[in-house]
Amino acid sequence: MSDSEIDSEEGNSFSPKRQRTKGEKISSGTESDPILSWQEQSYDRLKTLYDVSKLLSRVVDIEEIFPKVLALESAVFPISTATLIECRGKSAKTTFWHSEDATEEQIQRALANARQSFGYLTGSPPPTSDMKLDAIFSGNPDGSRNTQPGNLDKPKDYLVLPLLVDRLPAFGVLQLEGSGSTSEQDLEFVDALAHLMAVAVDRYYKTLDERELRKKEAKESAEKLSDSQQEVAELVDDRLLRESFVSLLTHDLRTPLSAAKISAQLIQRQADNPETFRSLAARIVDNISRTDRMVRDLLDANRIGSGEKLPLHIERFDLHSLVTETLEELGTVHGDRFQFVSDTHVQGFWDRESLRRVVENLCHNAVKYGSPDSPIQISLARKDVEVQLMVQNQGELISTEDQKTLFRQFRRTEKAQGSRRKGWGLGLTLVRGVAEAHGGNVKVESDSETGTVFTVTLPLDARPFVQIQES
Amino acid sequence: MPNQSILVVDDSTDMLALQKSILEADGFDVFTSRSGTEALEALSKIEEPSLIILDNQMEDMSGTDFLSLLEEQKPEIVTVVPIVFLSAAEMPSIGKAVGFIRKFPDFPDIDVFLSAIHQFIAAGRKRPLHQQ
Repeated sequence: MSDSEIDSEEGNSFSPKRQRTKGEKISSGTESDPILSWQEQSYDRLKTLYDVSKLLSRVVDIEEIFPKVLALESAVFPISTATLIECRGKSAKTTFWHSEDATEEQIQRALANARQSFGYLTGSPPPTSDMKLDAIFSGNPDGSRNTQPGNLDKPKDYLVLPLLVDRLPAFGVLQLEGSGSTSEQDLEFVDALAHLMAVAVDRYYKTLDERELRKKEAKESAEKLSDSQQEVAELVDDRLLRESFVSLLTHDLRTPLSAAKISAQLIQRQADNPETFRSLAARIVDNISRTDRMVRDLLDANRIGSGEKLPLHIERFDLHSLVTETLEELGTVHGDRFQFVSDTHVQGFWDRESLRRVVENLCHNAVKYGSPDSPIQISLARKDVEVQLMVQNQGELISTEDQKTLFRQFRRTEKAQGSRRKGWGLGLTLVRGVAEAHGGNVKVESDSETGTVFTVTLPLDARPFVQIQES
Repeated sequence: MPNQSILVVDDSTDMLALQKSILEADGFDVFTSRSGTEALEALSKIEEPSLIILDNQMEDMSGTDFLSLLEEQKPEIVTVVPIVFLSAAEMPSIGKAVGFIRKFPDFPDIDVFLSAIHQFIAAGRKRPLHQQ
């Protein structure tokens, strides 16, 4: 860096004690050089510090800045080696500069000294001597050649200064090896330089930290946003399901009520035809019962949906008989589709009505979604202290994806939704709710060999699992 | 005078039974079909009915789809026989049908239902039913 460059810097608010004219060379001699007076030297030093501080005012990598700082510095205080070791970042970094005529021995000695000093001043273990140097520069910073060869035998003064900002311990050292002897003024100057370097290094890492923090925060925000978006999507999804469910529900509830109403009106209108009364009245009762069952299913599904266990009314009965009865009734509605392939009679303690619904729901689904050409097989098996009820059908399989959400409220597989067949999507929710209220479980398997099988496992005695009900 | 006949198309046997009860009590001959396909067959066999009642919420073939099919295969029926939808919607679009009866609350009220039936049959006496 030439004089003219230094002097012609813009915004130079530094008022010089004397004007420097162009072309006047800065001597690379020491402070005892009689060419420059003490005042002039002070001016030079302050000016240099000013220039260095301007240089360091930008946040740059240490490696980039080090040679430039040394270039400025050497105009005032010539050096043969300069070592900067700092551990402000994640690991210790060593940046080294040596003059062109510095020897290998000199270099190694300077490094060793700096490392040792680093250890003392920072309290961190000194970087080992075989650690790679992060940066090493050489040559005279100002481009000139040393006018006198380094005197190798004379012990060099190392000026070692800690790098610290607000409190101990220091996070590094700056070591300058003067090529001549050093004065107190030199020491002050280098000290000031070290402070500037310390601030620059600290700020550099702080900026890195901040950037990382911002990156991390941005990532977290993005994740949160995408989570929120997903939540909203799910809520909208649920709401749509619920809305279509409500419209389906109102239709399905009103239908049997309509039928009951019509039957009642027909009784009124056919008062002179009492033979019809019996069947009309039966129809009314039937439809009201149907409505009541729907309401109960809805209530139960709601309970399950809010995590409650269904209340059960436990009786002792034979599960085999219950299944037989239920299949007979289903047969009148769906035809001869069901095969009960088991003669295992199992007595136990369960809720009769709930298990009837389980059988009805599973069989109803099998009819609805299974193949109409093959029979639906129901079986019972006793396993130790448990009993297993299985409902198996052939036909289109349930994908593993669908199996995951199958038992959720309002869930109908895409295939089910696609078919015009109406459904509340509650059947399997209820099946699972009943199974779990008994202390059991339900699972589904669907593969090309066996078809689709729903297996409900129940303890033989559900009494220990049941909610105590206040009667 | 021979009884007027009505063809009722609905996939619910309960609904078919109910409509049959109401309409027969009112003096109509009632034919029932459980699907659009059955209805097409029935129309080939019976004499032209005075009215066709179509459930618009059938699973296999909706009332609207059946109507399109009927137009294709038996256009003369669509021209002269009044067709009404029985619909769960408040304001269904009816196409070539002459009108609709709401499943709730119109249908369960026998007086309202029968009154509508009679009105639609009367409309059917104006022929042709639709502008060509």
